[in-house]
Formats: sequence, structure tokens, C-alpha cells
Amino acid sequence: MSTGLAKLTRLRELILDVHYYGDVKACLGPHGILDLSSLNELVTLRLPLYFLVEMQIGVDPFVPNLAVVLPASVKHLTVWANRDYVQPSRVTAFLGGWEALLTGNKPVLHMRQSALDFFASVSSRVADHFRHLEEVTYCYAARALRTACQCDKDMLCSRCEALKFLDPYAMDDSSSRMQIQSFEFEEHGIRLRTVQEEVQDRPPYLPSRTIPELTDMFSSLAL
Amino acid sequence: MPPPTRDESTRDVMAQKMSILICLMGLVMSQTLDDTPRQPVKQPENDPSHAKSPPRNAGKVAHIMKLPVELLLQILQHLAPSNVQPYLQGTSLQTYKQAQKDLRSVCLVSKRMDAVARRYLYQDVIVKDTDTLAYLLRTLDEDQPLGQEVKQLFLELPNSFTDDEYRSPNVAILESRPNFEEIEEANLVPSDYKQYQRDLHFWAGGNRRKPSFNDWAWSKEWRVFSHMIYEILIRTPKLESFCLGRIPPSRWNSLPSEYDFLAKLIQSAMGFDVLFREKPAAPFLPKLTQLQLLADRAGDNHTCYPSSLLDDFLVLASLRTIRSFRNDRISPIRSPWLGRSGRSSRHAASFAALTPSSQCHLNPVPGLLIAD
Repeated sequence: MSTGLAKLTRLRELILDVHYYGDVKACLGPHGILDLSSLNELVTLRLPLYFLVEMQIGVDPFVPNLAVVLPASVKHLTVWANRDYVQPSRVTAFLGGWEALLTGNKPVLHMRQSALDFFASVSSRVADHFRHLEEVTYCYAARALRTACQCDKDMLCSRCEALKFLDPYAMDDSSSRMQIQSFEFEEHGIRLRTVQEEVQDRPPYLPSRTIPELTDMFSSLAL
Repeated sequence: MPPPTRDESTRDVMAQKMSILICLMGLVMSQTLDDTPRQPVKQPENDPSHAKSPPRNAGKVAHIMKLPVELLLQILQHLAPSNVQPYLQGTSLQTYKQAQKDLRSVCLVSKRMDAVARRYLYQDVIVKDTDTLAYLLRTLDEDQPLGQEVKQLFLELPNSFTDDEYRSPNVAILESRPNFEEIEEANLVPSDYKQYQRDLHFWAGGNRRKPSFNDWAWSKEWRVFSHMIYEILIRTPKLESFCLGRIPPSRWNSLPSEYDFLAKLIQSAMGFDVLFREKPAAPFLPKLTQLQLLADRAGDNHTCYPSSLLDDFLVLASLRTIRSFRNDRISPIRSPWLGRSGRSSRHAASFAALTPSSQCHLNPVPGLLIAD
């Protein structure tokens, strides 16, 4: 995908509200990262945070130097994570393949940590690379966030578990880091936002009409 | 003072457009202010049959007809629909439809007005059903220059038999034109169940679930849509914005045949005629700057659509905006001139590691790696 997108040199806006399973990393670019560095006119960018996280066996997932993969022209940068599709077990089950299963060195993905790493990587290069940046947004979503908290003494409910996985303000240590990051961005006049997005449910799908032709077709089946 | 609400703004725009339309109609029906002196009508003497007074508007030309085309264009621009977006509904959709209706009314005034208003009538086209798709194709085929006026095209076709908007494609209105033979051949025949069984016999999907008759029949139905979409796109070379909406969920891991029109267009543009035996066409959508690939609004979050659709459009260097929403599965980049069989993408990933400098195009699962 990096190679394909690199041809679109006039691209100004790229929104990839894409969900993914399994082996998407192999399709993104070098080291499993989506490389958009050649898109020198890109102004608005929204993509999955996972596309910027490097996963290696035996190493915790990390966000590399984003100045290498993101163009300096970006003004509005949004990354997002959805708990329902980036299940840690689902991702780690794929990552590393057979080797990981055999050795047990499976990388474990935490979007909250990756979000913090992402902010840190961007803020460290604001002065010399991301000079046009005006807004950085981290969006997250999960179905479980629509439910009320049902924690008991011993176990976190699914809602709080999702928050712990996604929300950088969910834990004290990461919340402190977020405040520092927010301050650093503000110093450069960049707006930092964390947004919880709604997960839209499919409405109950009831066919409102029959298709006589189709009914006839099916009824003509000589089984 | 609070800003106007969306409904208030919409009503204001509609009111403005109606007033413009009424003024235009009034100009057409008004008395002339023609400067040329009227010649008195010479009546034969003593002839009672010629004692009638001349027609009221004899020798008169409506004021608006004397306006230059440039002015008419500027006037009618205010009638054109504005802010056309995908998935319009409610008031926004009504506003769009009313604008189209107004323009159509202006087209009926005269040939001159028709020539001017048609540009705006076909500027932003939303297609929500197959009847509109077929009529649009017929119109663009009959009036070749008209295709140059289409700047935005939104395709929001039904994605299942039970969709409210579904109609069996009415290819009869294409009147058996020679260049539409492929469309007619692809038209679904109800008695195709035997063909379905024959196709299953040659199923090469390996361990993948075989399609149900419903899925298979829908795939055949969409083949007709796909041909029509292809014929429309090659007649709209100045298209600037293309939206493919209501993309159905992918039933299989590979790109279903519903999107063969894309492969066909790209192959034509890139000079490949291996599969379709066609001469290379003009460059594929050279003016396209905005692309929107939108899954069905009502789709389940867990469904997926073939995101290799996006890959097909990556050959368009003119693109400035790409919006891809609610895609649940992503496939490797696909070479459009290849089939869907081959080695798995896992091997392809290994190959990519061996040749990092080559431009590799990966087929969707099951994939085949081909280097440029």
C-alpha cells in the first residue's frame, strides 16, 4: 500500500477508516508501517494507529520515528483505534506466526501505550519536521464503552477493560504523560485531542419486500 | 443572534432558487422591449375575414433569449444543486431533487435554454437505483458531448435482492444497441440454476465456502450493473469526483466480480487487452481528484468490503482526496491484470522481504506476487 499511495503525489487528503484483521502488516510497507513520506502535499490524514506501530518478535510494539514515514506537510493528523477489531489476542495470535507460538515471544499490543508513543514521537519532531501541524487527534471506540460500568471488587467489567486498553487517560501514569504531552503541543500552538467515537450498530435488518422473481427462481429449484 | 440552522439555511436557498426560477419564467412570458419598430399589419380592405387584430406577441422576442450564453450560465448556476454529498437524505435529498427538477423545467423552455441548463443538470449525478443507471447510460450514449459535463458521480446502488431500491436492471431501454451486447448477455435469466450448478462444479475456491445460489445470482446481477458502470465511466472523461457507496460486504476474501468494471477500466487505460480483447481507451479518469469508497450505511460493523478496491484507484496520479469509510478488511495490493489464484500472501510477504527495492504488487488472498 505504501508503494501504491506513493504514486499519488498530489494527494492532499487521505482518510482510511479501515478495519483490519491478521496479515495487514505485510501489505502496508517496510517493517509493517504505512509509509507516506513521499506525499509532500498531504494536509489531512486519518488512519489506524496500528498502521504506525512496528511489531517485532520478542520486542514490545513501538511507534518508530514518525518523521520518517509521515510527510512534513501534514496539518491535521488523526489516528484511531477500535477495540472490537484490534483484539490483543487476535493480533498477537497472528504476529510472529509459528515462531511466536513455538517460542512464546509474542508481541503484545496495547493501544493506550501506542497512543502515548505516537504523541511522543510527533511532539519530538514538531520543531524541525512537523512545522505545519495544527491538530493531532486520537480517536478510539469499542462497543463495550456503551455499557455502564459493572466492575466488582475482583474483576474489571468489559467497559473498563476496553478503557484500559484504549483511553490514555484511563490510568494515572498514562494520564500524567498525556498532560505533559498536551502541554508540549500547546507550546507549539498545536491542538491535541482525545475523542471517544460512537460505534454504530446495524439497524435490525428486516426485508420489507419479497422479490417475486427470486421467489420464483428458488421455487423452481428441482432438489 | 444564533446562526441559522441547517433547515433554515436550506429553506433560504430553496426560496432563492424558486425566486430565480419565477423571474426566469416571467421574462420568457413578458412583453417585449424590442427596439425594432413594429411594422403595421396591412389588412386587405373590405375583407371581414382579416378584420382580426394581430397576435399579441407577434414579432416579439422574449428578453431572456437575447442574453448571451455567459450570462445565462451565471444565472442558471444559482439553480444548480450545491453541496452534493454521498448518502443524501431527508431535506438535503429533497433540495437536490428540487434543484434537478427546476433545471429540467428550464431545459423545456427552449433549445437554447436546454443547451445551457443541461450542463448543470448533469453536473452532479446521484444514482440510487438501476433504472436511473440504465437511463443515464442511454442518455450519455445518445448525447456523447453530455458526458463531458458530468463532474461528480455518486453510485449508491442496491447491494442485495431484498434491498428496497432493488429493481431488476431494465436493459431493454438500451434498445439492443451493438455496443451494449455484453450488458444484455450478462442480464440474469431466471432459469440459471443449472448454470449455478455447473459453475459450482468448477469451483476453484479451495477451502472457502461455496457461494449460495443467492450469492451467485447476486453476483451475476451485479455483473450487469458493472458493465453499465463501465460504459458510463468511459463516457465521463472529465469526472472530478467519484463516489462508490453502499459497497456490499465481501462474501469472500477476494475481490468479487461486482467490481470487474474497475479492472476493465484500468486495463483499458494501461493498454492491456489480454482479458477483454479491447483496444486501449483514453486515460482512465484523468481529471479525477476525489475518490470516496463508502461501505453501506446500514452495514454491520463486522462485515467487510474488498478494500483492494482502493488499490485499483491508486494508479490515478491526479487524486487529491481519498476517503475510505467503514472498511472492515484490507487485502494486499492487487495487480489488476491478474487473476485471483496463486500462492498465499504469507509467501508474498516473504518475497517482499527478499526484494525490498522492487515494486511488488500482491494479489488478494490467495495471492500471487508479481514484480514490476
